[in-house]
Amino acid sequence: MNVENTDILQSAAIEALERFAFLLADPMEQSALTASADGFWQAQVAFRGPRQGALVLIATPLLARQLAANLYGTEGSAITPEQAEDALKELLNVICGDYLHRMDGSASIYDLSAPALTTVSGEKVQAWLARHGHVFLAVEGHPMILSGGD
Amino acid sequence: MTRTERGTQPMAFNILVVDDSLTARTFVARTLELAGVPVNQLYQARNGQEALDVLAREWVDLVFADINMPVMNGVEMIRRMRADELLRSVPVIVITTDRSDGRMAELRAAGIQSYLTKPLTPEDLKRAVDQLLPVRG
Repeated sequence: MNVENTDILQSAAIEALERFAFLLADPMEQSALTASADGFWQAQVAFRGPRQGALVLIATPLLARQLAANLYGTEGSAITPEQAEDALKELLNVICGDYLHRMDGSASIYDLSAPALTTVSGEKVQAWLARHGHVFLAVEGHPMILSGGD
Repeated sequence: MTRTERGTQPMAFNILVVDDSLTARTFVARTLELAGVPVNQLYQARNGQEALDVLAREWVDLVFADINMPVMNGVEMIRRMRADELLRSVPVIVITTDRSDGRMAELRAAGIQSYLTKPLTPEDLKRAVDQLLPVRG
């Protein structure tokens, strides 16, 4: 599935990052995607309502840790992998809810699944990007990608 | 203290945060702190059933609850609270990503007093708490 409006998704993501996680994000060229030694984390949430589909968020574990550190109000070194994973999933949950509201207004009810998370390689990320419309952001210098899910 | 003494609010509140995400629970706790809401005890639960267990044994002044949770969702939890003589007056603030009119109507029918949409700000949260729990000097 491709996201239907990447501009709206981009706005929802930037606002969620700023208001929820106190992180600044800017649009970024896909060519700037660099390899991550730790691979990438891919979180996915499915939604069901007037539209059916899924939203995917791809980020490095390093960014997930920074995100969690901001949300937990602690140093990144004190963040466990479980906390970083949970933070990324919760961020996706917030972005997805706001994206659907911006797309359909307040008249539509959506059910969201519990977000799931997997680890993917840089090659898989590139292949994913070739198949799906996406939003590419630089979040405090780290890449973050949002796209539709399968 | 018994639940019938609700007319005299303490200066610091016992608050229960219900969400399956540890991040979301921690975020609410931090936001309460940033908003300057006086907290005596902060309880946490991962779903509606765990929340009802906490409410059965602890005095709680205010509940923050998510809607989409495993085991027991937030709407069912609120319905059970409203059906319980001891719990029906405990105020609940729903924190949700879903701001649709239909969901809000469902929450009002279940007896919800207030809701906030994610991402919430300390100002949003403080305003909602002040409306439900005015501190009496």
